[in-house]
Amino acid sequence: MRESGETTVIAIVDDEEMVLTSLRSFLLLETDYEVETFTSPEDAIITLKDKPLDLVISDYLMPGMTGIEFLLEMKKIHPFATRILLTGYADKENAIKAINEVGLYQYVEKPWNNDDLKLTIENGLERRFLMEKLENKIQEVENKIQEVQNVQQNLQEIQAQIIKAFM
Amino acid sequence: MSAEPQTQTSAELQAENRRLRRSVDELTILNTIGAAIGSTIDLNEVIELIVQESAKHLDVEQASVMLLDHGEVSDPFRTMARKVYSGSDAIPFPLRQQLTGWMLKNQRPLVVNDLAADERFRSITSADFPVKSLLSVPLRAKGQMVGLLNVFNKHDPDGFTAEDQRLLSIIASQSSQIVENARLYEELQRRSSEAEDSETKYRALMEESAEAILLATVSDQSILEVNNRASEMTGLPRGRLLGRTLEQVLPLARFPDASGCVSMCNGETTLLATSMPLANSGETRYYDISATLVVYSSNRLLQVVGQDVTQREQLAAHLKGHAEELEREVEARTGALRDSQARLVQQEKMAALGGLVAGIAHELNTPIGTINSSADTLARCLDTVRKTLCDPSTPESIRENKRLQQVIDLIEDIARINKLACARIVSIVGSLRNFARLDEAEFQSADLREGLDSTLTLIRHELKNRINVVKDYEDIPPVLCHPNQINQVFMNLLVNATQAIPDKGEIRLRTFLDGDEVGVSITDSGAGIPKENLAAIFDPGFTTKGVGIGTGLGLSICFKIAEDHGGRIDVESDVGKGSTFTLWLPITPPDGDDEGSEGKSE
Repeated sequence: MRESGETTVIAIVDDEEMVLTSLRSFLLLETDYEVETFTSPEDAIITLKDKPLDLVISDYLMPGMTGIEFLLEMKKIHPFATRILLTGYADKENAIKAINEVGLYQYVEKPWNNDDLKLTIENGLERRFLMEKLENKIQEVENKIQEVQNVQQNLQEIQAQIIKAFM
Repeated sequence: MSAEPQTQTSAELQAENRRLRRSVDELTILNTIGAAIGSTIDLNEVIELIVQESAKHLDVEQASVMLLDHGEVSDPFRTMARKVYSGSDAIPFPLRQQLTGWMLKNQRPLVVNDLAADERFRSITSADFPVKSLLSVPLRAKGQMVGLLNVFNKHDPDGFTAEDQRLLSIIASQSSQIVENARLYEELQRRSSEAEDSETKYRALMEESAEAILLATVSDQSILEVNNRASEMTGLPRGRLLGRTLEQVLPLARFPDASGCVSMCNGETTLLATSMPLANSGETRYYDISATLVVYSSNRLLQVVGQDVTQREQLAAHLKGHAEELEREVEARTGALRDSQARLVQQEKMAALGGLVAGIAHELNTPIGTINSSADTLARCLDTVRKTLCDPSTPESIRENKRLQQVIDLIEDIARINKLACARIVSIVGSLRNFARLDEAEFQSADLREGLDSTLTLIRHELKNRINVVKDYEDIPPVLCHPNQINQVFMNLLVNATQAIPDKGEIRLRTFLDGDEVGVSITDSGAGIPKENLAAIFDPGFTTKGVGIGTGLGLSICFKIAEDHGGRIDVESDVGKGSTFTLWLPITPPDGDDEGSEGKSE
């Protein structure tokens, strides 16, 4: 769960409606995530551009663009969202190659096991929130540093004025 | 006393005297010619004598004898003209022709006293030999005309008288027999010398001949003459050959009998036997035997020729052996080629099938994944429904609805069965793609136990309930190999094992490490392999299964695959107890390292 208390958003992209339906029904039954499904990666990009996103699951072989290309786009739009590739066996090689290129969190082989998938999603989300938290902490620390620096600057200025006044 | 004798007139005396003298002359001529009979038998000398005596006693310029050449009666003019003696060559040909023509036709003496005036010969007088008068009488022997005796140009200008004709006729009759005898003698001489010549030549030829020659009679085929070669051929000396029959000497050849000889033409050669073996002094030589009907000294004889063809036979035998050897070689090579072709086709088929299977497995992923996931979700949904039904806040009418309970039970059952069925399909698909791995060209590190298990899943229908599979897996390291090929070996060995078990039985699978080799043994409790078949089971095409069940290629391909991996397959078998096939693979194949790293670097 996000710190802000907002709903977790998951997007699933697969050109096969049946895959989307079975995944969505499982996740809706077992989790409180908001699940967005798309049969076209292009539509997904357009819709997800202006929405918060925590995790995205994509098929590999789709008309229009591959899962790798799609996930690369997602990385640009939502760098913190966890990226999972759902692949058939024959696409495994390509998935492995893409791990570094796309910063893939995990690939899941079809046919998948619901419990395993759920665990992967949960872990992926936890990582995503930790990453965000870490990012926030870093930002906080940087802000504090900036603050301290600003105060220091002010102090230095004041010090300079005092010295000037005394001289 | 009477003076009667003295009263004869002188004229009468003179005439008497002339008659006596003539008689003396005639007698002298006859005597001279008669003496010649004794003195010589040479035809030329006899004729010369006759010509001289005739010319002398008839007082003429020229005399000649012409003889008919016996045996060449078709052109008597020319042949007669050839035998012209004592200068009568000079007689112009047309005259000779006319003269002989007339004489042959009329067969009586001819007198011409003025040739120029004679109707028959006028046209043919010649300046080279001016003939004014001529007298010709026939020479006869045994009533046949054998020649002519001619005299030309009598010195007495009155020409030939009847007396001259009588005298020449007497000379001719006296000479005829002598001439004929001389001629016959000469002919005999010539003939006998010719015969002698040809016999000598024939004998020399026979002896010089490289071929064995036997002469035999046509009637009883008894041998009359042989050459040395014939003795060599038959192994019998000349003395033991003569008098025997051809059949006795050459029992294997089929000789024509007397009637068969009749149908043979003179000089025509008939081949009686080819490559007839004849063993003499331990060595067998081969002969072509042929027969020719020949006329030898006017006898019809059978000439049998034996040609030594041993060298030809040896060459032929050598060639035949060579050809057979080549044929065997070609056959062996063709067989090997056919086998490797069949193997290639089989491998090609397996590869194609592997690709197809992998494709199908991939395509099945989506629908199976969906059903699998949905069945699971359905079961979870029902859990929620049950929980809701148990909740006290739910109206009792719904909680206690039996029909609803029943439907929920049914849905639960179906979801459970669907999950089980899906799990089965997922497992099969997994095995399929594991079995038909698409990494064909590359050596990969693989756990042989996984391949063995995948293959077992695929042949589950062969096992059913009749075969108990016992796994005895020791820990083994991964092996660098072509996993799909090794799986093919497992498939073959496992299917063979199930087919070896006729009814119920057991298959024991063992994996173990021995040095740097990994062993996988598959033991069946089946029929076992008879000893005589054990050596042949890896041969391509060998099968004891019925048509349509086995191609006979399975084990030969397994053997080839094991070899390609630097490994081998061992067999132990007890008839009635079962067989154990063990696949041995080195952990790292001899040339697998390079291929493997190459494959990975791509």
